[in-house]
Amino acid sequence: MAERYFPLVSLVSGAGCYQPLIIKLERDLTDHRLPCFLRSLLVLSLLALLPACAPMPQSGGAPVYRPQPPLIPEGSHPPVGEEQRAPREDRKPPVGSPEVIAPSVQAISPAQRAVASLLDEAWGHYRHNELDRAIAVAERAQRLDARSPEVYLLLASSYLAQGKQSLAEQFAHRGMNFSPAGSVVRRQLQQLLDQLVPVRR
Amino acid sequence: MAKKKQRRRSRKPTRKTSGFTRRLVKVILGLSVVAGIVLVAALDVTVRAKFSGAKWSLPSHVYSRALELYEGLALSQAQLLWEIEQLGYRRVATLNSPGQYRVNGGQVEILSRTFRFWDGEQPSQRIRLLFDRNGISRVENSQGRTLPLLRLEPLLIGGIYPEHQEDREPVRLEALPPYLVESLIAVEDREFYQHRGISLRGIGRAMLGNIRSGQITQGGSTITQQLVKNFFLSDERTLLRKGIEAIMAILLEVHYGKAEILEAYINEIYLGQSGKRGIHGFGMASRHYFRQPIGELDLHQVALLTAMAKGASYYDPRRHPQRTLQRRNLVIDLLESQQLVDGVTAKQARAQPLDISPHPGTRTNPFPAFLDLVKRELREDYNEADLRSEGLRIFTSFDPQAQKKLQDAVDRGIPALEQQKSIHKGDLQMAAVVVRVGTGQVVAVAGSRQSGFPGFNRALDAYRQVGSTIKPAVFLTALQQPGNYNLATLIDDGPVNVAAGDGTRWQPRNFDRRDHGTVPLYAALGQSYNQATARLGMAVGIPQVAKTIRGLGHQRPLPEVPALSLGAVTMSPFEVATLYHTIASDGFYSHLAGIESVYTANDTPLKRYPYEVEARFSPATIHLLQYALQVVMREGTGRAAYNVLSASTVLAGKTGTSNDQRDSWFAGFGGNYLAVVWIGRDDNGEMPLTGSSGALRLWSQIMANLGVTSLAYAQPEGVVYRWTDPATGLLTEELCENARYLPFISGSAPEHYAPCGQRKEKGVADWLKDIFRW
Repeated sequence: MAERYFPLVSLVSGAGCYQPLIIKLERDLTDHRLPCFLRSLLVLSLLALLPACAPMPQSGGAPVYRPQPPLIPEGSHPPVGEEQRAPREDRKPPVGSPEVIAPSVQAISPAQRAVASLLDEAWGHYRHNELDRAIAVAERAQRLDARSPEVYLLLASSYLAQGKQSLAEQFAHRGMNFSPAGSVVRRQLQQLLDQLVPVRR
Repeated sequence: MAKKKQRRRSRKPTRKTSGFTRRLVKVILGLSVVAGIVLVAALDVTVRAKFSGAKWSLPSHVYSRALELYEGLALSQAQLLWEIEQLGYRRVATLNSPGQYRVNGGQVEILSRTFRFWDGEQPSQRIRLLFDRNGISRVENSQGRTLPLLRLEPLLIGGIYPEHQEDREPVRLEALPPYLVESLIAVEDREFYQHRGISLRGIGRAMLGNIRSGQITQGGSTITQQLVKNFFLSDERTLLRKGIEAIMAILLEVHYGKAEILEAYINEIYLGQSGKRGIHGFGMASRHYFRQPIGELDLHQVALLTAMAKGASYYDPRRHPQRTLQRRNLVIDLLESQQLVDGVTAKQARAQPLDISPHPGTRTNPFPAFLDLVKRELREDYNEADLRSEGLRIFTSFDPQAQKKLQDAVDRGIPALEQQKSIHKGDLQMAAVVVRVGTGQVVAVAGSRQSGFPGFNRALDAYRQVGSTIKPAVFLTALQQPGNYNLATLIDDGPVNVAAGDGTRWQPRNFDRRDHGTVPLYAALGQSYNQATARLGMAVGIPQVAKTIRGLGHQRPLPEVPALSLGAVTMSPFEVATLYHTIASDGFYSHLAGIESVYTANDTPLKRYPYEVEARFSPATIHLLQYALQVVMREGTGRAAYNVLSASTVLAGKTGTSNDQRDSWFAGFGGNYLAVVWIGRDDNGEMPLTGSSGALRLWSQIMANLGVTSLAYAQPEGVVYRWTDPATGLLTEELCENARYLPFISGSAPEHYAPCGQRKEKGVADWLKDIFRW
């Protein structure tokens, strides 16, 4: 039975030649992280800044939708157990009246620990070249947190290893969409995309 | 000549006749033997043909998503208990086998079942769940160690049945619980392991019993004969049929072992009815009466099913509980008298109530609208005959909790709307589709106001005018030209009067019948101004608007006329959900789907339906559109949502009302869910409802029930924010009157400043904000 979505995919064989990149990406993911205490420090200092973003009462004026700042410059998930949530908005602006409306700071996904555990498992399958299983587990993670760039890095890498370049590219773009500027995962996604472009030409 | 013959015959009549008769008898005997051999051979072929191949046409069964339990999941204890009750977990004081749970104050302990998922088998585990007011606060194993997550098995939500509507879940002998085989043999055929298909002793005993009682009460059929009767023959009670049954029973025993015959019997037997659907076999009966897999059944449950084997209609535990309980206890007595169970165990089992689930554990089609979606997807890959006979196991994204919340909102919301608007009771119909944002997975569908009603599926098949629901496509087309349009671009909302192309004039009017002068683009969408949108649509080009609609995921032809901008096009709620999912997913299109994977009957993975994405629009442009869709919710036609939902929840959406108020639409999303709601009348009649006063209300309640989270409105690359003066579309300063903080595609923001009107006082907070502005 033919796969349903494969019209989207240009099947190019020769996945093996990308192996060094994938291994490198993997190594980056596991090794090239900031030391834990540095990450904690970074997160704490950002938390200290958060009150400044909280909504402030203003007299009159039009509604303001403020974009969310990238909260965690580090690419991977922040250390589990740290308080990451922004202070909650206490005063609810009356609906319909010209009030300040500031977007809430993006909360860290409540599923982060579950997602991290699934990603570990999926990278394990990936390393053993069980790519379909890696993808299946990554999709499980994706259903728990559809905004995790690491999930898309895994999907993109797995599809790339399967020779499904077009899908790999789409997932890499999707991951870029969620990865903060300067983050490790963003760099990894970019590297993956850079590898794709010459091949497609 | 004739006379001669007569003479000859009359001369030696006796010898001639006896020779002829002998020959005739011989011929008849010979023919009978041949016929007998032919008959036996034919029966033999029949027996082997059916018994050696696939014995049954197996229905395909459809399952929900597997509930993932993890710390931080917004799932209350009550919601968890509801789900595990649906799964047939039994509440006990002490956990000792899979499929049980206990509640201890704020904690729930579960002994989960083993289940084979696509990515591997998950063994049975003993877990403890702790809750706080947000949901699950901790998941730990029996040693108190934190578990990152645990999956419960999915819920059976329906099936695709063979033409004869027989539902069954075949089980192997080794998977049966203790006492089942023993009790069946004790009750139905004590000499099963001794006889060769028929039992003369059994027949003798039955005859004796019948003579004593004066009527036919006992059959004397062996298990093999019963199987033959059910499998190959009709129900009529004639001697010929009995004879054929006996021959076939013997043939079956010649070719097949006792174990195989017994297994076939256990899976063949009729054990009840659920509407048109027949419950066959002990596996399905266990699901139907106890909501449990057969392997989990205790003695009293096993005895109940065995009792029903005698006659499932007569001994129906739901319709005739007393009679059935008596027979169940009779079965336990028999087991005790044959020393298959000891006295204490038997006594305990007899003391048990019937113990069946309050509602049938299997329903034929409890979620018809979702199942319909699944069937349509399946038909692209499988033919109908295979779906009805191959016993496929289909795993879907269906979320029973979400469906319940959706249906709760509908059950209350539609009658309330009818009452408020003085609409005749029962006139309104509705449809809704709920999608998990960013996954393309449909989690709940309502095809009608009546839950469980398997009629016209409006979610997929009601093609209705979408009205303003289409407008985001017009604005997206404009915003894709950052050189020409940004959110602050002023557009004329004056009267529109153009040739429609068919000789008539097209003169769309605003809903409030007023002109609003020049309005900024974001406000034109926020307030759903028809005149401004129509003008914008023509300015960017109707073919371009159509291209955008197709880019958002629409696949059917579109009428490329000016009225397209105002939604003069029919779509199903499912199609509208597809378009909005692309907007909710930052411009990435995904095919909306309900199926995750398909397995064969023996648990071999057959096909997966992977999640795929395709970038269709730049996330930066979609960010601008999402801004305008938030304006709809905060200040525009969608603001009534906040009567129900918390004002701190960031939402994006759009109302839609078709001409003469025949259709009321709302499509919108938060961070986790997207929902599209349509309300209308089946006869396409007018209603006193707009998108805002009808569908939006129901949408808001659905979203509140679902626990919608805030839209993750993160600033993508290539977007800058500037304080803007809405009246001129020029830059301004934060403290100038009416200043608005608007997103622009980098390089497209206005460069000039408008004169500042009345300046606001700047507080300490504002100074701080200046310092820390991102």
